[in-house]
Amino acid sequence: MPQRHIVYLHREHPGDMAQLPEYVKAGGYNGLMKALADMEPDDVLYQLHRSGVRGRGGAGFPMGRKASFLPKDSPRPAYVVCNADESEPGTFKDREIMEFNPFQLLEGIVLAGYAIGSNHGYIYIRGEYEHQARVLDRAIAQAYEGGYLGSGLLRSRFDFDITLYRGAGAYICGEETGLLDSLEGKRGQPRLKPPFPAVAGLYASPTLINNVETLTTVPVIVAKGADWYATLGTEKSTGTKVFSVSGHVMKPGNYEIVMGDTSLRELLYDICGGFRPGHDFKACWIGGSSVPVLTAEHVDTRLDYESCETAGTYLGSAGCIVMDDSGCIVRSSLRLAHFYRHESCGKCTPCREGTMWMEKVLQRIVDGEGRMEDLELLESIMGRISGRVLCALADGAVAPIESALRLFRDDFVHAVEHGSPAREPMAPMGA
Amino acid sequence: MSRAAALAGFRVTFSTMLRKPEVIGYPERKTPVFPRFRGRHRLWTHENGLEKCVGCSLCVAACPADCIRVVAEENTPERRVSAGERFAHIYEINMLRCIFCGYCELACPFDAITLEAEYEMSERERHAEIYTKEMLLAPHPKPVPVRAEEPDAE
Amino acid sequence: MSDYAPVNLSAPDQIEFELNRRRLAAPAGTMLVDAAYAHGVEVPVFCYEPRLGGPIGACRMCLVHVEGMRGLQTACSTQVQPDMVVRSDTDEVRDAHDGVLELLLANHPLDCPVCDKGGECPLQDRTFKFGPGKTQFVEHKRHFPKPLDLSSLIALDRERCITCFRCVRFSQEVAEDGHLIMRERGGDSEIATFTGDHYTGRFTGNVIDLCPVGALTSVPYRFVARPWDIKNTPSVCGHCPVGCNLELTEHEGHVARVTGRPNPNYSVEEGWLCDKARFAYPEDRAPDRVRQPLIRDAAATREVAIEEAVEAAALLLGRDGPHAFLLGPGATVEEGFLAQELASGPCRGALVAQLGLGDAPALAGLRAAPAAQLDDIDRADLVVLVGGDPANQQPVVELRIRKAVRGGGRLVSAGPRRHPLSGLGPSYITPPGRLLDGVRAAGPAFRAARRPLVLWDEADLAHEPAAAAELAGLLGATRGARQLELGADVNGAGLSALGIPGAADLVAALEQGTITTLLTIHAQPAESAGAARWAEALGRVGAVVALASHGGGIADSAAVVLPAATHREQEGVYVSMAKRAQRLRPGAAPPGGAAPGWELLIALAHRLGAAPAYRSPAATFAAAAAARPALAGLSYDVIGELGALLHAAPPATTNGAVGGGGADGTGLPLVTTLRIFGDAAAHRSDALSGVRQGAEVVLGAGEAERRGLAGAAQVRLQSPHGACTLPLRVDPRCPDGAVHATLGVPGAGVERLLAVDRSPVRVEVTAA
Repeated sequence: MPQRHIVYLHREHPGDMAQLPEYVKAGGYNGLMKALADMEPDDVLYQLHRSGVRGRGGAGFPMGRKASFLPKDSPRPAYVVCNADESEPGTFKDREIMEFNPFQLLEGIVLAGYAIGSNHGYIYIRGEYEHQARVLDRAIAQAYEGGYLGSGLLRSRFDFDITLYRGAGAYICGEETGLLDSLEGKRGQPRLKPPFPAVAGLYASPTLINNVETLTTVPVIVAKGADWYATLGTEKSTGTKVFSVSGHVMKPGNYEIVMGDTSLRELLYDICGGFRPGHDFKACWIGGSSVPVLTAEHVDTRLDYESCETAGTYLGSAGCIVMDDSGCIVRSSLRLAHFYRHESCGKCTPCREGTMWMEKVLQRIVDGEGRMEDLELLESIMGRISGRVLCALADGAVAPIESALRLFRDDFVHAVEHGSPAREPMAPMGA
Repeated sequence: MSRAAALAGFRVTFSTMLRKPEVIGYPERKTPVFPRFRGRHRLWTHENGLEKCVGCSLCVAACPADCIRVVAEENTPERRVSAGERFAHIYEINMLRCIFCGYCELACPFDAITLEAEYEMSERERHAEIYTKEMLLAPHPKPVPVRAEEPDAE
Repeated sequence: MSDYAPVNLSAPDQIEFELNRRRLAAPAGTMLVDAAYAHGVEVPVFCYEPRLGGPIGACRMCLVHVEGMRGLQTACSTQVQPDMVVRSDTDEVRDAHDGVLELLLANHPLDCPVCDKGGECPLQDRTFKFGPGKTQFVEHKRHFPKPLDLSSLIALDRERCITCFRCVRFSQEVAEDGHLIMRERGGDSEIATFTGDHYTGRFTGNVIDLCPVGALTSVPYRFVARPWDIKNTPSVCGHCPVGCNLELTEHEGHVARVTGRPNPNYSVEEGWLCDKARFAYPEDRAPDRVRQPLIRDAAATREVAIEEAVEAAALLLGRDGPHAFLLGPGATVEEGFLAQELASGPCRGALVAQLGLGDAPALAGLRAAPAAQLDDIDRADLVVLVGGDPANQQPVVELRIRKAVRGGGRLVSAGPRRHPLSGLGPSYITPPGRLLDGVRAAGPAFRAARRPLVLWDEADLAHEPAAAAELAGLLGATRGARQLELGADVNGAGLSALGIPGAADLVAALEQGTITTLLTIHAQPAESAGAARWAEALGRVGAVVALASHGGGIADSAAVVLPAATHREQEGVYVSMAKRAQRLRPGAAPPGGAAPGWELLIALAHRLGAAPAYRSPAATFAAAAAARPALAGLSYDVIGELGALLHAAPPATTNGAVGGGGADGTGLPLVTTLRIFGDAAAHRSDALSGVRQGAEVVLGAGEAERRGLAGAAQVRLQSPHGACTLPLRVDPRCPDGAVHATLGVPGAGVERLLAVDRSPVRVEVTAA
């Protein structure tokens, strides 16, 4: 099995890694001790840079470069913010980290803080992760008790505090500036960029904001060295990536694999056990729901950033949603449209009104009341949304539906003519 | 000009002068007007009795003679006059000023006002020429027949 | 409203860029939308409003093509860069405009015929100009019950809202009341108040002007008129000495609405109006409005023709003098000058005085320091507020101070009362007569400041010579320090520029019984400071001619009442507290037989056989400018739309000047406060009935305890000048050592406690 555990170390360790002694026993905090003992902050920054690790939240922006954007001479304090608002449909990788390997995340946050000269970190965790928030809360308390957090941690002269903040259940707060607004106590809405968070983020101060998985990688990079890390994966997609596979496969779940080593086919058929007897692959949204859909012809795509882009999609958060031939692409599109309509923050006109409109049109098609011109109408609406909004939510709403309409046009035409061909009634959708 | 041509020119004259004169006993009998004749205004109500006019004053804006005055008020649950949020509390047309151009009818977004066939609007007092909303909502007391169709182009 | 920020195209540091193949220039830092607008290219906007702070890029209406940048850019958040190549006329941009408008209209109800905004609606206008013309939207629109009362002044129609956030940003970032919020998310977003209560505040009406659709409309103006049925006239507010520029809407012969100007005066009000300025106009049609001339004799009161009334007034003023002319704080420069002309002509020897403070020698030093305009407050790094309560007395100044503090400036305040701005910075509360302590406490703040600005209250400092001198000293010793007077009287500066003194000498002359006829011009002496003494003195005058717009007070007893136009109905010049001469323009004709004051005074001069050579307000003002050095160089043309500054100082007046002297009487020092919705105008306007404020006495908890008044509902205040009885409120936050009472509320009678020159008094407080 081509799985390799860097962020999912708890899977290789017999003890309960959510307890501080077990984490230390498993080699935890080696990275932080090494950094505090014989590395300057700039050395840590250089290691991150050199490792080539890219943001695991979805956009895939190199973390080292992001961290280097923070102004060194700002009179305001710098902050590290951990984006734990894991709300992307089909993505549940961060949940496992926070639940079973929380200390590696905390260590990563402290290391990132050390690298950028920050003394305060925030974890913004999505409201629905109640249990994970409790685990993190306990872990933070243990870390303070054990001297791994607080002033002069690990008997060094470095101070670092971490505050856990629970969101209230809004997808848009996973967008970094929406998250910052929400963290500041405002209505969670994306901000106009520039200024980017690196320059004016939380409380208008320099802020490094990264995903849970990204920050959890940091201790390993520091402990084992960037060069070792960079040997994993491809040139532009280094390291490992956790794939959250869900849908019509026999063994859905989180799988950490080395990037570029594995193809989608191997992931689905070998690692996840393939499909139910009598069914086969139909479609797959590989990077959460906000990416263009892949069809059977793309099943040999290698799982790394570049190959996904070549296939016409994005690796995104690697929340891989799989559908076999029993699924209805039109209904899935409606479900997605409903999700994005419900989660649009309402700031930008095209997203607020466009997602609502898309849902209404798709609903009509599914109900068997569609008109042939509705397909062109959908394309026209989507054309008026994408690229004309502040954040990626609307583009994420358009990508899967636009690609589905392009790649599965026959299904849509059939739905317009006969209604949705689903075999079972759709579960009722919430507000 | 030849004599024949001159006679041809008088064809209609000669053919008519020998006809028996047609006398219509006005005002007992009225000449029917053409369907597109623009006479006195009429305000309309919906079938449920609510007035179509919402007092938007677009007719006032369109009126080239400045002969319409509208004062709007808000509908309340206790007093609902029109189907919209507002209604015309005052709707007056000064018939002395009106030039019967029909722009008010064109401007109306709710088809609340139309120009009808009636043309007898002489009054004994000038101020009586200001027709109120109540007058305009009611059918005219002096109806005028309308021709069923366009006559031949004789 | 304005929508676009003014751009100074003649500033020195212009950078060149290209827009729609034209080579243009604009100052560095200018936003693309503003630069384009300044050069005559309209890039449509909805959420952009430079007065609300930085752009938010929400509506996506202003998308333009910028060469070298991926996708379309929002022109509201893009600054012009050297050699930037911008296109707002490509097919792609047009499609974006089309698309955003189609989406905006998808859920926007088509009820333009019943919408008050219809006809002057930016969404309507821009749909015509940039929109698709037809829609592909065939689904059901979003519906909400409508309309909702956001307050007694503002109606909210949530269906029409296009979620531009302007009102929310105004509430959060300009008025800083934190009241309005966007509730819910996405397509369900709706405007609401945070608490669910009514939206209350001093500036709420501005959201009506800001709303680019008909979602927020004025309740008093609801369904009153359509935009093609009205006439808008730019004028100036006459409710406080700030002199906010505004626009009067005339409909069917009266002022039916007041709004901010479409092109704000950035040196004065910046387009913001307080709710009193905006909603006091119904007072023009209040039941006590004087509509017809009256002649009153022992037998009866008769309504007469204007000629007869002027004749009767001329008879009274034609008798042997001396006569006296008393101008109210709202009298225009023209009315003041005409009164002076009468006094130097046919009524030779007549005393001319103003009810306002007039000249106070104690303030000469302060007034001599470098003066600032209101927009200088924005740029100050230190604002020192001495005395006063701008939030209630000069409301728009509050917004300027908040803006300065938002921008990083510090506010230090000292004075006898707590007020809504006290919490924005260190505040030193001193009892009356001890303001010097407060000024000294604020003194050290000057040292660190580079652009300090002192806002000082005329009424509070007039009787605190030591504090005024100390403050003048600080101003003189600090480089770059400037001062701005917080005036007490609407046109006090204008009347003082004419050399008209305060009323101390006039009231003394009345008391001696030597005055034959008193002509009051917009003056209500028995409802002003020293009311008790005025009432007494007025009993000794031979006859009173009242030129007044409203009944009550002197108009109910005068022998002749000349019905006058209000400041919304006449031409004239007001001089603001920042010494800016601005023109009043009549929004509508005065009702019934009423006429503008200048016209009545000229008619009076004619009857008295001294016809002036001028017959219009413009000519009257020209004569005043020629005769009074303080007005030199001014004319209606020079004043124009945005006003002109007075350059010369007003003449010193020797009689009637106030200042000096300690507090009269025994007991607690009296601190008077004014409330924005507590004056006669607010009480007359039925629009403001929901927010109007009454009078009360406020005592600190300790003081109330000490005097055994903690449980008293009503208290009686007794000063050497008079007494009044008012409800008592015990406020633990109110500083002890003084008693606070609300001035200006009609019928409350706090004015009776004061001396005519408003000098400090002490009062005995007893349970009533």
